[in-house]
Amino acid sequence: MKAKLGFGLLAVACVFMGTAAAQQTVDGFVIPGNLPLLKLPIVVTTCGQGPGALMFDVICDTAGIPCEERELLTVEEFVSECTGDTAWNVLVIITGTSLKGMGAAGVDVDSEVKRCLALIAAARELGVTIIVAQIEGPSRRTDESDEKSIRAMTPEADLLITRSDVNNDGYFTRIAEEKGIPQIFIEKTLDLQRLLPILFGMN
Amino acid sequence: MRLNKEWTIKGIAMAVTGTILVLAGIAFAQHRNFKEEVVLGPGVTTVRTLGDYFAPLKGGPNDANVFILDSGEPGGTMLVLGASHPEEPATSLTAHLLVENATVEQGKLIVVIHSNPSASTVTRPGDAYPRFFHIETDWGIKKFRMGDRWANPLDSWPDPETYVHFPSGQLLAYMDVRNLNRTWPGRSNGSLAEQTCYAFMRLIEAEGVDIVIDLHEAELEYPIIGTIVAHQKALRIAAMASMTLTAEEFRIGMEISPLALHGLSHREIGDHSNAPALLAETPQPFLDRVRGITDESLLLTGKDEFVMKAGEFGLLYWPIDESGWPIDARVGRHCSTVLKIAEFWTLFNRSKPLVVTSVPRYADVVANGTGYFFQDPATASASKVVYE
Repeated sequence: MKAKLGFGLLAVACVFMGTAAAQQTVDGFVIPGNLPLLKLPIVVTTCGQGPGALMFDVICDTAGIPCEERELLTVEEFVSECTGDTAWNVLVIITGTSLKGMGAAGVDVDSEVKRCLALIAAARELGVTIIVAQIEGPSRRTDESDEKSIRAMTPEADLLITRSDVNNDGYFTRIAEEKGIPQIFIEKTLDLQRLLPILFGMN
Repeated sequence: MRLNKEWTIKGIAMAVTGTILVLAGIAFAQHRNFKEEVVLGPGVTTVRTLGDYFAPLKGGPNDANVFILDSGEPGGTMLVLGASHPEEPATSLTAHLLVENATVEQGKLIVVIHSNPSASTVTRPGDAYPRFFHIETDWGIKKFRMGDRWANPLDSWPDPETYVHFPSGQLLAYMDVRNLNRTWPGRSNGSLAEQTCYAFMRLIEAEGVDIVIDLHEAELEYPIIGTIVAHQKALRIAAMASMTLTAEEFRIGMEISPLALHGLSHREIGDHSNAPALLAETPQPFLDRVRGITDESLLLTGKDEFVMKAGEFGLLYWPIDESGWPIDARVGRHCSTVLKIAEFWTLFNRSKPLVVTSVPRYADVVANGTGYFFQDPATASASKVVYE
């Protein structure tokens, strides 16, 4: 058991030191070798007003990871809060849409895509790492709005975290390969409770 | 001679019409007056009715039974509403199962099997709904009323031209003045459904309810399906319940209650009381507009080739295959959802724990069947049998 743990920690260390080009398997997750630098804290938003950002935030809470959820984060807020000691270092965008959520917020998928693309552009200028995540599974890949959200955000990521059950058509694998984006698949949303501490070196 | 022939034809037509009217009247009366037998389980400490919380309902069509399971130990209080829409029978069956089986070790559980009893005394003749359905048990067949989405027009009539929701002023479809999930928070001088919601709000105040779960079923053509819809006060509970149920038992999503959509339990109960409300949905192919023969078999098996075909064309928001969506899977989902929400209520509110036991989870109900968990009223003491 100790040996297994030791190997896992060594693997993670290698990944974060950037010395391992090959992928590693840690605690059941296949971690690609070209992982970007990930530093806390995190800000999470959603491209489509689903509850995914809330779920991500709740998981961060339970894992002791500093994270702030901003459902309608604007580029102005993002830029102004990305300065100083407590500046966000990672922007997480959860893809998939909720018609109820977008209706309640007075937005639609096109305005959501526009808002999130502006956030991504600002994050690039500020050196903030961008994670695009599909963590709610097939429930958030059912219609045209979901597809718009996914296809607009996914190619822009520095790291993809994807529920494996939404990759039946191979879209996520294909786009990651084409764009050279590292991708980590999870089976269940709750897997993030184990994955995030690994990614942020908190184990 | 010709006159005699005319009168003969008219006489036969009148006799046939009269016979149809009498037979239909008997069928309607049988349905309206049928009572379901509920055996009070070991956890039930008191049975009240909605009229105890709002006197004008006393003795009327919506004087619903309110089953209280009080542990006697301090803790949280949860209200579970079954059959807000009685055409969604997994909801009343789940509530029934809770009353006959649940025990509460900390806190208090309040269960209503038929939240809009009037709507359970009518079906949709134009849609060929069956009047009754039957569940096999170890001791025989247990019979239940099938219902409708709206209160019986015999009890709530006439409908307005347009239903103006109180207090938001939002305009809703005229018949939704009889829909219990469009009339929250209700008003004392409103329609029967509005008065019923008003009574529930008084119950929530009087019993110190901390959290409400409103059980529902939905058609697979509807995007809000297989999910928990949560008021803003209960988002974290819903998120954790959704994620853990999906990880451990079955796939279930989560939606956030829209702020501007009025009349629904998950919106108004939380806005007008201290108790946040969550609404749980299971998939029910019987409700799909593209369904085939609408009968008791479809109601209980959830198997329908036309709904499956719609799925093949990508017209559904929820998967279906040859297995359909049987009643046991739907009841099991609701049982586990109620238990999981109680668990996370306790996790997030440690000073007000709610510990409910002896309720089967999803796998138990699927393995044994819903009927396995119903008690035989014939062998129960008369004082333990309540009629719904």
